[in-house]
Amino acid sequence: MKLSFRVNSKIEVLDVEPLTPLIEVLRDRLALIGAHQGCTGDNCGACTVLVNDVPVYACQVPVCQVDDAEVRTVEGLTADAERLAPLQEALAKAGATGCGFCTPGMLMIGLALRQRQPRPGPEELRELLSGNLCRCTGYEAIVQAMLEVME
Amino acid sequence: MSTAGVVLRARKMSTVQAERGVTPPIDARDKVLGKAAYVDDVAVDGLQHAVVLRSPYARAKILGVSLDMEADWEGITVVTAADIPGENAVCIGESRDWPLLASKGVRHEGEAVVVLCAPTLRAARAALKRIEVRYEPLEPLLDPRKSEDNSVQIFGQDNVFARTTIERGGPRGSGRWIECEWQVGAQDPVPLETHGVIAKPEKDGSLTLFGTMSRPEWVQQTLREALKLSTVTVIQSVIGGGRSCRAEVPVQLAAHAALCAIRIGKPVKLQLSRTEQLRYTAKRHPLQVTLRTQVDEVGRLHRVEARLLLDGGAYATSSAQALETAILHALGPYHCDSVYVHGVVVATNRPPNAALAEFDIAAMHFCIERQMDQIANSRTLNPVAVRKVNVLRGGDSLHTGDVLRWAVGVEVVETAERLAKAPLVAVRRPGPAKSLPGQGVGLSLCCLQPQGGGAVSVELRGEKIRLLVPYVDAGEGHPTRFAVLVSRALKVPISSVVVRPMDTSRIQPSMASPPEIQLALGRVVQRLVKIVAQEVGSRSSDFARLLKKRTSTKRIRVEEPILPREGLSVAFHAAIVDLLVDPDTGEVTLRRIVTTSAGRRPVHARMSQIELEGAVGRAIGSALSEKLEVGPQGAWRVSGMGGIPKAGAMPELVTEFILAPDTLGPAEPEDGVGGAVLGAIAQAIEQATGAVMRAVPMHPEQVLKALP
Ligand code: FES
Ligand code: FES
Repeated sequence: MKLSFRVNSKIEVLDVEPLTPLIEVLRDRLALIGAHQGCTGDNCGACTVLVNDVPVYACQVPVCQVDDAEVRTVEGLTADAERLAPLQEALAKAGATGCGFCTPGMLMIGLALRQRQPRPGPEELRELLSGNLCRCTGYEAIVQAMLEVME
Repeated sequence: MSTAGVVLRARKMSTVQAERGVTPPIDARDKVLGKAAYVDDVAVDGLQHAVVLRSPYARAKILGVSLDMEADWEGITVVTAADIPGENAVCIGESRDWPLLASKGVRHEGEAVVVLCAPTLRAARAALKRIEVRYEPLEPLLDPRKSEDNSVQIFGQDNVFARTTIERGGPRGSGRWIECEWQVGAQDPVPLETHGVIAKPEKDGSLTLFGTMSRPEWVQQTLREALKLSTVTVIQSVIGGGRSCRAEVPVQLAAHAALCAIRIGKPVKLQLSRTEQLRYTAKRHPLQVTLRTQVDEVGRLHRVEARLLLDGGAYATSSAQALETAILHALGPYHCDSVYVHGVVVATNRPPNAALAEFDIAAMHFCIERQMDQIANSRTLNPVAVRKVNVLRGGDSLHTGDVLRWAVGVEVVETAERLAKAPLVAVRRPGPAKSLPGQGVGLSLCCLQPQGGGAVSVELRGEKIRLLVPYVDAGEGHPTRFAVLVSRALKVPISSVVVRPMDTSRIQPSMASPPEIQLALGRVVQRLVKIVAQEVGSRSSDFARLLKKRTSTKRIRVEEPILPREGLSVAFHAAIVDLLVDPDTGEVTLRRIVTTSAGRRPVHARMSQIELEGAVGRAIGSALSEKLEVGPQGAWRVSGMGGIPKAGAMPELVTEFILAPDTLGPAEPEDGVGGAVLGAIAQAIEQATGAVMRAVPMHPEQVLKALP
């Protein structure tokens, strides 16, 4: 199946099996390795990307569903590696990266929540992050860093 | 176990609040950019993909392996035990009982029988279905108690992998006896990234392995003995968490990938699926403990008798080490002169378990902390007071004979009590109206044995200082701490310090602990300053100034051995947990956890704090949400990744560090906090409901069952 969608503002036209999980297409076809696969699906959130600004588990979305859509991955957060995006800067500065495997997913869910109005407060933020697991940090550093950016 | 010489009473301590806005981790930029290279992120030309055919039976004879000749085997390479040129054994320290691939029989569900590789993962998985292994199933032994009885023999004469007894002081005449049984089920460290390895044959006949291996020396030894490969380089990838669980299983994976790679002369990747990782990889040894304690009217311990039974699973691997850790922590942070401790690790037909220090220490503390609560109950004493009466003091000796040079058990509890008096900041998820509030206290002690070994090197290349350190990081941030230490000592910006990841072609692996490495780095840096001063003919010790004077561009490399610490490195912790229990559903809602931790002065307080918060999170996960059930053939049936709590389940966290006397070699302040948290959660549930929690995990069903 021929598909066309935008990834980080770049148009991609691909010939792929329609049911291939989006995560596989991003990683194997487009070499966007930032989103990770941490579980068998629906659990860890390491694969979180935005599809039309909505956070999704890329391991659960068949690629045919993003036909014509706009996909954003961690690679699209900043165009210039010297200048991190505010959320990236905040997580790095707070030391909230641990092993870093959850980090790209956290950044993408963080970006989606940052765009929400009204912005979530600390308790709501914790609840909203519950679909993204982190074993290293106990979340506190991540939550604080995100709140800083959201203020 | 060694005896430390110097005795020092706890001396005046100051407390540190971890400051914010300090040096970010040196690898943070790559990680937030999504550029950090985990195994599965690395593109290698001509990469082949390996998968493993695993036994569906817990115990069976293998009658034969055959390929479906109707299938297309073009481009597919199949490897069995018969293809191993040397000894069919994974080298885990001295242990050699675990085969690379099963040959005559299997001893646990999920045991590797065949490995194959193909140009794509899909093709490899499809080919796996076209292989038939014929088994003759045998009655499995899944219960460690039955294994201890020796009614069925599955290992040696007595099913025992390791056994240790320690006796100090004789039985005492007086006091009341309290006997209890405690259990801590298996725990999975649940790293977010599964284990993975890429094996790449080099033109010169050597082999390079890249991946999530934290014990490169075991990989090298295994490939030397099993594959007769003398030149093997092990390079660590960025590792997605769980350093301790990266020791055993990745050695076997590395050997599987290597077998294929050598055979076809192409690079081969083997990465476990999440299901394989959850079901078949090593967990912390399930632990059963019988504790008999004799106490006086104030709850002081007169005699402690502990019997420990650990389920080692099908192969010994690092069971002896897990037992050693459990025995060393058998009395937790408490002192008693009259002690009998007996521990045994037995074989069962379950996937082999591994020594996982953080969890091993926490598990033992759950038992001893629960016992302290029952001592308090039996005499209607205050549980905090009972702890204070018994907690180790500086100069006390452990049951192992090690003398503690400093101990601040009382101080950590008192600091935690003070912190816990503050009103709860935000009552998170207040829970149903009739939820019962409970508050519990827990203590823990973390002892690290002196290890030493290997060396650290610094290289001065122009303005850059490169550190070669025998440490495999899986996200604990020690490389950042090494860099901070060196940049501070030399007064150079952290950006000029580079820490190389583990690479055996440049760094000799070592068991040394981070504090030991830090001490060696301190020495090596001093030597570097002297060498540069000599070179520029100066007496100054100001490195920045010396560098400015330096005109030579010659590379300077200085090496310094890592010496084992004298005596144990220890850290003390207290935790106070506030929670709510819904008496109808048994649901536990954590509201606040206060921890106080005493250890060495953290090199990077912020990083220690985050590590500590992570460890608290893992303890919460194993206490309340982890679900590891045993399948009919003994492998784990795990629903989700319960060992990691969700963000919304995390309580308010208040942490404080107390500095121990620096020069005496305490552990990092975050080491071993989990035990205090486990104990405190159990006590708080008991305080709220009267339910005596005798086992971990403490799911709602278990809480309901334990209600009086
Ligand atoms: S990989 Fe998608 S949720 Fe875990
Ligand atoms: S940083 Fe390791 S899982 Fe989040």
